[in-house]
Amino acid sequence: MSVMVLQVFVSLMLVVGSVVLLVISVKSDDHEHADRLSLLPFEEERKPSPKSK
Amino acid sequence: MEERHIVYDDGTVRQFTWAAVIWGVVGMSVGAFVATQLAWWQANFDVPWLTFSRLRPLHTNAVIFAFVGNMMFAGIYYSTQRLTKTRMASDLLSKIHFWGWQAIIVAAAITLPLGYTQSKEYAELEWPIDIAIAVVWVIFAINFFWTLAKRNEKNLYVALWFYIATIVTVAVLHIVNNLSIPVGLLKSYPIFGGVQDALVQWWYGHNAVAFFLTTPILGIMYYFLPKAAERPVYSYRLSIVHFWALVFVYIWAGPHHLLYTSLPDWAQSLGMVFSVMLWAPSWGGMLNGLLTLRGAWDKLRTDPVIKFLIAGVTFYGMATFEGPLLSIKSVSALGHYTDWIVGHVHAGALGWNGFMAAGMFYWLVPRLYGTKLHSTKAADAHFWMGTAGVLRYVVAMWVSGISQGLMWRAFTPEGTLLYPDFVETLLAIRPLYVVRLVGGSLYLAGFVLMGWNLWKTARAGEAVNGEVDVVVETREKEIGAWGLVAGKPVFYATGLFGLCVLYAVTNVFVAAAALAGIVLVGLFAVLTHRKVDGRPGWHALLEGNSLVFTVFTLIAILIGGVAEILPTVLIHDTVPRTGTARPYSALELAGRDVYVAEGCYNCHSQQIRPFRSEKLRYGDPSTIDDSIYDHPFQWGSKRTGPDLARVGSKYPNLWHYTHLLDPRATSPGSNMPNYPWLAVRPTDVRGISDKLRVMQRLGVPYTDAEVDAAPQALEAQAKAITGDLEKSGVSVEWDRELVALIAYLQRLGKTPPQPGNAPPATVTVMEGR
Repeated sequence: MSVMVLQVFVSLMLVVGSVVLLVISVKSDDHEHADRLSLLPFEEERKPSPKSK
Repeated sequence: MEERHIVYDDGTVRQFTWAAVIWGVVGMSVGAFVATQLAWWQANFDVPWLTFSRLRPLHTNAVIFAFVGNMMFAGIYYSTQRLTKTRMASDLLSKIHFWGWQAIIVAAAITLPLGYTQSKEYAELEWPIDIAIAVVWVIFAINFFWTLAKRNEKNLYVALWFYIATIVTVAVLHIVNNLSIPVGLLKSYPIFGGVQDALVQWWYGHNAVAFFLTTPILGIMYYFLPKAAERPVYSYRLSIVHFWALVFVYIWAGPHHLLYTSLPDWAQSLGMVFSVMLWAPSWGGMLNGLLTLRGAWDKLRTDPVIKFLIAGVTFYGMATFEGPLLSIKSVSALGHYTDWIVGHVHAGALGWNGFMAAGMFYWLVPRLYGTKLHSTKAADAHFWMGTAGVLRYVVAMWVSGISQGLMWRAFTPEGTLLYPDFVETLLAIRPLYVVRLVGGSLYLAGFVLMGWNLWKTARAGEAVNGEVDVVVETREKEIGAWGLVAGKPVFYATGLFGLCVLYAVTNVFVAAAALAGIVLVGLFAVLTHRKVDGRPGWHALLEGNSLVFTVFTLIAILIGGVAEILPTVLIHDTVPRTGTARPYSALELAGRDVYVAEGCYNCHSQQIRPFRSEKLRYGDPSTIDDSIYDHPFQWGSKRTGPDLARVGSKYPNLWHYTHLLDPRATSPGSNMPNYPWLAVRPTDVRGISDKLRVMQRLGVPYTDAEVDAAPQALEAQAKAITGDLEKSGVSVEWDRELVALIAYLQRLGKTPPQPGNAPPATVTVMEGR
């Protein structure tokens, strides 16, 4: 198997795949969903009580 | 709608945290000790269980599975509960997981120095411990997936995806790579041999780095870095691409550890290409981590947590640039078997894993004890000690490795080797071994300082468990599992994959058609995509179904492994053989077991690459047949000493006898340990038939007569060697490990003239290939 042919092919696949994903993402207009999920680690916790188990 | 009060199980997080700190000190201390041994051989003390070749696996296993393992579990237990808004499913399973893992570490710390090893790097532990690892890992998996099943948050955050990938992939890797047949309580032979064993091992070895040292830490990065920076991750959508590209591509990259070996060329090419591709998702993840700090770069000056996390991510970027670089065949030709690889690994281990661990601990421990960090100044001092230490270490190994590589291939104007004696290269790099020791010790000192700082922090506070009130909304499922599986993205991905396979395996016309098909599928996907108002996208729905998400992850990681390993294992045509291989004699097999137990593979390779310099130094390039009956293979990954693939008959028996007892008597300047106990310890003569029988079951063509007469054949060959030694005035009993090891070494690269019950009288009559 020729390394160069394989390398060029997979590189093209990466580029084309990225463009396709970008276009689909823009068309889906899913910013709001992603924004909400990225805030998941920031959910407030109660102030812990020392004895709590 | 229902309101629930959740109290998290942070006790388990505290246990794993302290275990990580303690095992980190132990593992790094062993590392500093073995670095001392490389610089000064006297530090081996002629004590078997303190010898470099036995302790080096202890160092690697301790830092990977004990330090990073416990650190990873601490991060996973803490963040999973918060991201799912529920307590871990079972306190009992959490306890079994913690204590089971610590028991495994203790078992490793006892058995490895005693010489019980499979000799497969990072998978050295013998079969009973392997079974224990599988059981404890499954318990962890049950607890984790059970927690996901009872979660109070619909969507799985990106950190959880990386944890899922870790759990399923490590299970697959561990089980396949450790398939073996026991031949005693702490001895086994792997079912794969030679090139197949090499491919399976480095599929495991590389992906142990990927799915034990990388993906869980990326999950930790995606949780703890936003928390510390008080900013959401830079791009959630980039994290989707990062995750799927990383888990799919990483698994293919294992063969880059075997470039220019006798592994079939197609597998080497695949490994190299996918390794270069890996650069893209790795840097996507790195940039996503670094840019999370946008608008808060000032914290880098004041907050030690941010310092460690950002430096850790930066080291991840450097290591994941260097890895693809080293996977390019022409670069590997220079760097493989040298200290450059050691430097690369430590940039990742110390810079990425160690700093991410420190950042997480400095953030976590004050919160686990309801107080503030004891000393920010001490944490800053730790940061600078660690940074200075890791840079010293890595730069020393770069210089050392490139020097080694260049010296091994240097020629005189007449076309002979400029440095024909291997020890010359060793003497040239010895000062760098001292620099490495200084760098590593500085890093260790900083780590100990962290341990003290965290201990004082814990003492100032009191153990607290996190609590949260959640409102649980009962919702109907938006989409079932089948709806996800039958979704358009799966359809497109399957179609594209089929076209890629067509492109790769058929003729040029079909390849052109496949290429056109790929473009058409892409265009079709873009043009026909329509947003359905009010309904989340396909991936958002997938994030709500942990079972389907896990299945897709499993498929993504299995494709690469199946594509590379199955043809090598099942289709004989892909593994060319010349048919000249002969099994080892009983004594040679016993000697091979000694070679494995003493860990000779840690410093000596048995794989000559097809370069002029290697042919001049070691002999003809290795072939598949050379190691086809090797269960396990012994190709090695590092040449602190010379390659041994064709050492047979190169020196007389007396030379080996002298060299094993006192290497400097035959090779002045060598840093190899003395092995005086080999002349004292008896060979397992009674058990040799059982060993041959297991080999027979594995496909090694021993006859039943050879198996039954193995003890007698062993004795005859051993007495021929001791008789030869006696002619030189050396007396040693025939049933000592030293004699068996000499027989094995004299066999390497040689084939007996014909197989039979009676092995050759002495190795000197063996016919060269």
